[in-house]
Amino acid sequence: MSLPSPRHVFANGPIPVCAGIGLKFEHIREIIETTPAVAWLEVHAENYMSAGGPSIQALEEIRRHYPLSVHGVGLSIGGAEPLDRAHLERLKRLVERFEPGLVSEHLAWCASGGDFLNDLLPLPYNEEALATVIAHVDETQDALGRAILIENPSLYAGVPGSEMTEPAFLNEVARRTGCGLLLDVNNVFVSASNLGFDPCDYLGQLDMGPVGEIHLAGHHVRPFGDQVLRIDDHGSPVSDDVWALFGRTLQSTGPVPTLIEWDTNVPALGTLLAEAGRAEHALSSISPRGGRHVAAA
Amino acid sequence: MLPLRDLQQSVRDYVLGAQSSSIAHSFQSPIVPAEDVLAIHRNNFRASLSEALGSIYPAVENLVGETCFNAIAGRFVERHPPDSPVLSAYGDAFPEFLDNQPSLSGIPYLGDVGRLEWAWNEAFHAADALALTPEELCQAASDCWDDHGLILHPSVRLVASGYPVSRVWRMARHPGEHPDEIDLDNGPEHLVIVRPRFEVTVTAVDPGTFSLLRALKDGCGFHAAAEAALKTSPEFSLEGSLGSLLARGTFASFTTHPEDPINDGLS
Repeated sequence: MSLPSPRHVFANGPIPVCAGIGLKFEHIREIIETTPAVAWLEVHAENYMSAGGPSIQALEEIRRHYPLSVHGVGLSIGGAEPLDRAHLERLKRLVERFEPGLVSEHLAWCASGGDFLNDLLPLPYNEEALATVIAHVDETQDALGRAILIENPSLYAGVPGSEMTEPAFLNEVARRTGCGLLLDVNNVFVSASNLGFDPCDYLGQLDMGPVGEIHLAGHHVRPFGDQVLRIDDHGSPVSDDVWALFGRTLQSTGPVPTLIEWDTNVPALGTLLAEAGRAEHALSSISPRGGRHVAAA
Repeated sequence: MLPLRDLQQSVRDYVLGAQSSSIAHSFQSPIVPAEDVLAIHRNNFRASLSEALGSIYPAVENLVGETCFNAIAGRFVERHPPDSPVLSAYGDAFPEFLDNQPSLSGIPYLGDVGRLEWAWNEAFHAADALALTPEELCQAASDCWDDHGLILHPSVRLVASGYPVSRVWRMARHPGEHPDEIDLDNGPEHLVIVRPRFEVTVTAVDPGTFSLLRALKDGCGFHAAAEAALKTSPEFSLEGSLGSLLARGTFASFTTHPEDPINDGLS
């Protein structure tokens, strides 16, 4: 018999159409002790893949009180090589153990030749990459027995070999695999600024039906000559520009579960909760969209 | 147009430190010179994985200083990139890498401090199991002490060092705590690292007890392990040793079967 498992009292059900926050190790104890009023939490899948230990035990405790979303950063959905079966199996066990309301991964690659590069590297948007991503999303959804969400990346530059726009690429992935989309509004803003396109054009081209979750985060602004390069470091408050773009996005999507991500220079829990409160205010001021696609399990 | 696999291999080679690459000039940015685009990813690779190593090896980092640690860790991550995205299982080769750095030869115990930190990390993330209690052991029939009866807790790790490595480690984890009181000739140490529930403990044991646990960990039966302990140390006392090992949660409960590990790399 293993340690008593509280899974039978998990706070189950879909992720509510409210604001959530990313769960950081620094806040785990405080969240267990104070159970703050936040609608849901999201974790990086790879941080909870050990065999056991206090982190896993803490997440099981937290899971009793909060709906949970699992966000993978290591599957290399866009990798030209076959998916790492051992890693997919780890993800499957994690999903079985914690029964998350949403499971998501990235439109990116992060491994080559057996080496994991710990970064979300950009893809060329062309037919070969599209076929690769579609095959890997299909394989992942088959293995997990559920739909996943795919997140748009942040880009520093155009990738050689690209032949279509990112929204066109994502629309096709969603249409052909049945996956949902995780729309990272900060990433849209960062990529638009770095590559010189209009973020509103991007939003206009993206099918909003499959959008099942929104991410908001802060980014770093690095001067480059008389211009700036925006770096998606999740290390500061959401910028005013991104809040504005979030508001415009909600006009198209209607209310969608929205996450505040803060992964570096992690502040006090109260700061994240305040950001989530601001997102909640925006969500509650938008009326539901008719017939919105729901990608949640 | 470059096939996807070739493009990704070229980017990987560059990120891992290849000196020149035509791929670095083919990324298009209106802001950043082409060759600087992939350099951002290369720097991110080195910095983020060095930080991951620093979280597993905080005592090593304190002993050599942040600047030196980042330089060494940066070389390590380029030569030994992770083969899995589970970064809590990344860096087992780092202590040996430290052993082989000529610039660190003045800190000969550094590799052992690293081995202790890796053992601590493995114990922290190991499978959960209830610890065997003295009462449970007493109630069990003596045939439970046969060759398969007494099993180590899944979190048990063993580290031996010619130096007083646990004292150096404690000092490095809590800088400012009497570093001058450690006599490096005051070794060797035989350490048992175990996490019965929430807390990882590091305890020095006698050489006989260490041999007993080493033999059990290598798959020996209990009687053979006890013989190994007596061979190491003729004054080894099984009764005395078992009592303190039980109190520390070193054995798994007879009724405990460790959960199937999610991560096969951390068992």
